Amino acid sequence: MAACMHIRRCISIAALLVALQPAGGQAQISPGELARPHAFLEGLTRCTTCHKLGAGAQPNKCLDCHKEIKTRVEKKRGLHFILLKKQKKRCFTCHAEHAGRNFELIHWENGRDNFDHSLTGFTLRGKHKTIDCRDCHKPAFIRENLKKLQPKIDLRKTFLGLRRDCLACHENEHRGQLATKCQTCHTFKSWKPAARFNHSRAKFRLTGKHKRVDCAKCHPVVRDRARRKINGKTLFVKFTGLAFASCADCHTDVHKGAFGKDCARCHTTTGWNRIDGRRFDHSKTRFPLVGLHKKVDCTACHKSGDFKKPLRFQNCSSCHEDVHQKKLGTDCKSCHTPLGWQKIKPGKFDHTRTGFPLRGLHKTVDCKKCHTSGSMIKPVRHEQCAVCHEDEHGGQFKRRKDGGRCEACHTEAGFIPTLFGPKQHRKTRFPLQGAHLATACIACHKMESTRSGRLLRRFVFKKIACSSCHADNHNGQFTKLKPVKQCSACHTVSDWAELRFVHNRDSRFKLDGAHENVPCAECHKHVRRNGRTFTLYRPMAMTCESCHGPGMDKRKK
Amino acid sequence: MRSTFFRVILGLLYISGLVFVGYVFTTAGEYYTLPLSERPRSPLHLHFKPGGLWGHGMGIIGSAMILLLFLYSARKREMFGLRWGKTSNWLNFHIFLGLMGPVLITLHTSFKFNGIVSISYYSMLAVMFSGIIGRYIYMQIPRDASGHTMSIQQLDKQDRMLTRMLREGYGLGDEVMRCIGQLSGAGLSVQRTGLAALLTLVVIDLMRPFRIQKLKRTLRRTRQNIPVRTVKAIIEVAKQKSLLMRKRAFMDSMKAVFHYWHVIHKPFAWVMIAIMFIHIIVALLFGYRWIF
Repeated sequence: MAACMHIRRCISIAALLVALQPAGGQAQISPGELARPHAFLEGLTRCTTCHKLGAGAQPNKCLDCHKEIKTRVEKKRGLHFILLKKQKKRCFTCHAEHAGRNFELIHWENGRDNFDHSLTGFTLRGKHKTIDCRDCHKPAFIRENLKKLQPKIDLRKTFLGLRRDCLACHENEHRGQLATKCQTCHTFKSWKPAARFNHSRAKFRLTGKHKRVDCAKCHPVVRDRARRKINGKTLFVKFTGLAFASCADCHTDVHKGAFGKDCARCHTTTGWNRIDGRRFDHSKTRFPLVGLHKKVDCTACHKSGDFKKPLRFQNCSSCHEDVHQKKLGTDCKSCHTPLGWQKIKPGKFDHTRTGFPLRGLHKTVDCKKCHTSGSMIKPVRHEQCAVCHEDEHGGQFKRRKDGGRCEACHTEAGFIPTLFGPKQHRKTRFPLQGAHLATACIACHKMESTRSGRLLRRFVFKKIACSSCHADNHNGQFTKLKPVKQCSACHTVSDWAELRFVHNRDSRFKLDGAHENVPCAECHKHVRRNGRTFTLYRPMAMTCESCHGPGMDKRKK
Repeated sequence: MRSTFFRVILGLLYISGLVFVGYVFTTAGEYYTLPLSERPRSPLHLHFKPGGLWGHGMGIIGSAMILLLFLYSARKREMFGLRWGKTSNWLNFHIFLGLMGPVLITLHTSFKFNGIVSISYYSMLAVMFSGIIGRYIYMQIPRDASGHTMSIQQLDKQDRMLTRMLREGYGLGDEVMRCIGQLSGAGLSVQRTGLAALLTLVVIDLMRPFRIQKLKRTLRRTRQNIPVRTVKAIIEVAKQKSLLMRKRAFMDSMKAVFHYWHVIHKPFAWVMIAIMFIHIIVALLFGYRWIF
C-alpha cells in the first residue's frame, strides 16, 4: 500500500514537473528559433527543408530555395560565386541560423559602407564610391526578373538584379547619337569633363586653332523633337549630324569665292593669317617671290598679318635699308639679286665707283678676300699694297725713298713679272754691265735664310763687291796681300778672260826681252796650298834664280 | 590504503575537472557572454556552439557522466553484480559525477536553452541541487563506518561513552556539559519535522561556530589555566558528542525528509534521462556525430 502510494506520488510529481515546464510541452527539437525571414520554416516537419537526415548541416541546400543566388553561382557571376566557389565558404558561414528571431542573416562584417564591392565583380571607382548603396540598388534599376526566381524577394532590400553597363542606371544623355560604351569618353570620376574623349577619333579631327575652340561653338544645344525628357531636360547637345566637309560650313568666305572653295589650298587651321607658303602661289600677285624672298616668313613683309593690305614693293628700299646710304644710287638691282645681297651680279658692280678701282688680278679676287668682315660696305684699307699683301722682300726696300712701295716694281697684273729691269737696275748701286746684263737675276739675287728662319731673296746687299758674288780664284793673292787690288783692276765685267791687266804697267816685274814671249803659265804655275789649287801670281820672287835656278849668268838675260 | 588511493584518484578527478572548466571559461568566456544573435559572428562559434567540436564533445562527456550516476543506485542495490567498493566511495564518485556532469552539459548548451531538451536541462539542475541537499540530509542521519544507519541503542551507547570521557576524563562540570548540549541543538528538535527540521539543522550549523567559541570561553572560565592542547581535545570530543546528540534528536525527522527527497530527486532524474535520449537520437538522426 505504502509502496503504491509512493509510486503514485512519484508519477504525479513527475507529470507535474513536465506540465510546469514553461512552454515545455510545446517545445520542439529545434536548437533555437529561426531568423524572421525563415520563420515560416519553423516546425517539426520542416527541419528537412534545410537539413538532410543523417548528413549533418547541408552546405548549400539553401540554394534549393534561393534560386536567384543559385542562378548567379551557376553563371559564375556575383559575390556568392566568389564566396562559394572561389573562397570555398558555405552558406551558413555567413548566414547562420537558429540564433534567434532577431538574428540578422545578412551581416556586413566591417559595416555596409566598407564592403569590398570588387567581390561582386563590379569594382566601385570614382563617384560610384561616394554614393549610397541604395542609390544604385533600388527597384527602379533592377533589370532581372528576380521575382520569378524568388517570389518572396523584397526588391527594396535586395542587392541583386543590376546590370553593369552604364545605361542600366544612367540615362542616355546623348539620346542615341553616340555608342553606348560610355567609358570610351567618360570616367567614373564625373560625367564632365569627358576626360577620355579624344576628338581625333571623330570623323573631324581637330587641328590648330580648332583645338582651342569651345565645344559649344560647333556643337549646338538643340531641343528633342519628341520632347523626351532625360535628366529632366528636353535640350541636348548635338554631337553628330553636323556638316564639316567644307570650311564654309562654319566659316564665312571673306574672299567671296575669288580663290575658289578649297580654303586648305592656302590656309591652315593654325590661323587664317598663317598662310602656308608652300601652298600659296605668290606669283599670282604683282610681286612674285624669287630667290631668298621665297624663304622669308610671310609676316616679315606682311607685318600686320593682314595679307590683303597692300604693300609697297616697287623699290628694294621699301623693305630693305640702303646700307650704301644712297651713294650708289637707288637701283639695287643693278648689282644685287634676290639670291642674296652678297651675290652681286657678275660684272654688274662697278668697283671704280669706289675708292679702289679693281684692276688686273684684283678683278678676279673674290670680294670676301678683301672684305673679310663679311660686310661689303665696311671700308677696307687700301692705301698700300702691304695692307693686304705680305712683303715678300722682308722689308729690304723700306729704306728706299718711296718707302719700298710695291708699285715701283710691280703691277696689279701680277707680282711677276716685275717692272724692274736693267734700266731700273742702272739706278741702283750696281748698274748692270757686260756679262752682268746676261746674268739671270736669281744668279745674284739668291734665296737666303734669315735669322728668323724665313727664306728671302736677297735684293739689297750691304756690300757690293765682286767677291759678293764671285769666288776668288786667286785665293786671296790680290785681296789679302798688299797692295790690295780689286778684281776690276785686271778684269772687266764683260768677261774674266778679257783682262785689263798690263804686266809692265800693273806689276813690278817688267816683261822684256825673252820674257815677252814666255807664256804666262811658264812663270805663273799652279800651286796647291791649304787644299786648294790655284795659279800663283803673287807674291813671286823676281830674282832670276827663282825661276831659272841658281848661277844664272846675268849676260843671258 | 584503498581509501587513500580512492581519495587521491577522486582528488585528481576534481582537479582535472576544475582545470578543464577553467580553461574553457578562459578561452570561450567571451563567446558565452555574447548575445545569442551575435554568437554566429564570433570566431569561437564554430568550436563552442552546442554542435561544435568542443561543445558537442563536452555534451557527450557530460551525458556519459550523467549516465554513470546511475551506477551508484545499482551499487546500493548490488545490481548487475556490483558489490565491490564501499558505498561511501561510490557516493563520493556519484557526487563528483553529479557536479561535473551538469557543468559540462551547461558548457555544451553554451548557455542557450531552447526546445524540449531544455526540460532535460532544468531537470538535471533540479537533480543536481536536490542532490546537494540530499547529501546534507544524508549526513544528518547517523551511520556507522560501513555506511549503515545506526540504531538508537548504538547511538546511546556511543553517547554514554563520550559523556564519561568528558566528565571523568577531562573533569568537566555541568555548566560545560550544558554548553555542549546547546552546541548540539538537540533541544530544538522538539515538534519540528520535515522541512522545518531541515531548516533548523541548517540554522544550528550556522550557529555552530559561535557556540563553539562560547564553549571555549566557558571552559577557560571554569577551568583556570587549562592547557590549549587540552582545550582542543575537549572541543573535539564535545563536537562528536554534540553531533551525535543532534543526529539522535533529529533522526526520525531526517529519515522522513530523506525519504521525500528521493521523490523529487528520482523523478527529475528520469525526466532528464528520457529527454536527454530524445535529444541524442534527434542529433544523430540529423547527422551530428561529432568526431565519429
